[in-house]
Amino acid sequence: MTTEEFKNTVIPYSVKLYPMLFRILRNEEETRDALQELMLRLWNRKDELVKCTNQSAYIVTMARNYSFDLLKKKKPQAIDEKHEYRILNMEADGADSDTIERYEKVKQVIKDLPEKYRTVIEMRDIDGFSFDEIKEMTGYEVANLRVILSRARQKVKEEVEKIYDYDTSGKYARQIL
Amino acid sequence: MLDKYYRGETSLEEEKELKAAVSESKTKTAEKDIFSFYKNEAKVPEGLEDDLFAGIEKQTVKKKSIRMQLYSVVSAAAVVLIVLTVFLDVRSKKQTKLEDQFFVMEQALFQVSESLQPEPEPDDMLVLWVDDDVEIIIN
Repeated sequence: MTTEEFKNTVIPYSVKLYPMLFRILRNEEETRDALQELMLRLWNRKDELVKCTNQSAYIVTMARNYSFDLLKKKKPQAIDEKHEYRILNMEADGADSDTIERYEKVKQVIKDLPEKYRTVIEMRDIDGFSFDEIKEMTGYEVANLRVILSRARQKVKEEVEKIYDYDTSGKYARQIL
Repeated sequence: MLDKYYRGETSLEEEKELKAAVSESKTKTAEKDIFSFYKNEAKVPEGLEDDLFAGIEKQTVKKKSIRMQLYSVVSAAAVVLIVLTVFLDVRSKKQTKLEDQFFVMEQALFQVSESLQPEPEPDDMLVLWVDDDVEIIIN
């Protein structure tokens, strides 16, 4: 595998892997370093990777194992430290206090989900992993994953609707969509 | 599409379209807040892929450089070894030749010396007694 091939086939996974690693590390610099390290590990195993019939599964499995390593090494952080980075970025992007508040409420709702639901919904709706990739990471069958995801999505919606009183016109928008 | 989404039956492509449509909508809905959260959480730093690729290239160049350095050191060591072997071999041959020449010269000088000097007369000795333990000789 040449560096160009690596760039075209493996590096694009960073878009999915970055949010996943960020959830563990909660620090931009550490996440970048961790992702770089993961990419180097994958590069060093490029010969094995080329022989793989399912490269995606190989990459995702390595990422999962690497995440477990990170979780073991990660020191517990203060809650404030954990929460601030994304919010600071939102403020820098000009988000108003209402947007930030809604972001925090949704974040809390997802955080309060049972672990199985939270893991699956984060991997699908934030990271954008396919069902097969999530299956590699979690070990759940695709049919089961769809059920978990469906329940998790409905639960999030229910909880968010409990917090905010949305306009009924939203229902019409839903019908249109 | 939204119902399909809640049933967990949408594809990634469909979800992308759905999320884009909801975020463009001006109506405030739970989905709008939820999708906005997902979008925010999925943000990656600008130029992330390029930076990661640069890191890989740097590593490749570094590895090549280390390998080249190793080759250089091994090559230099091999050259030194060959030169040393040749030098020692030549020196050894030279020394053997000198020793041979010296031996021939020594032999010649010895022969000349023998021809010039008369053979020493044997010393007169008077043997008085000889047995296993004692010899009595008078010069």
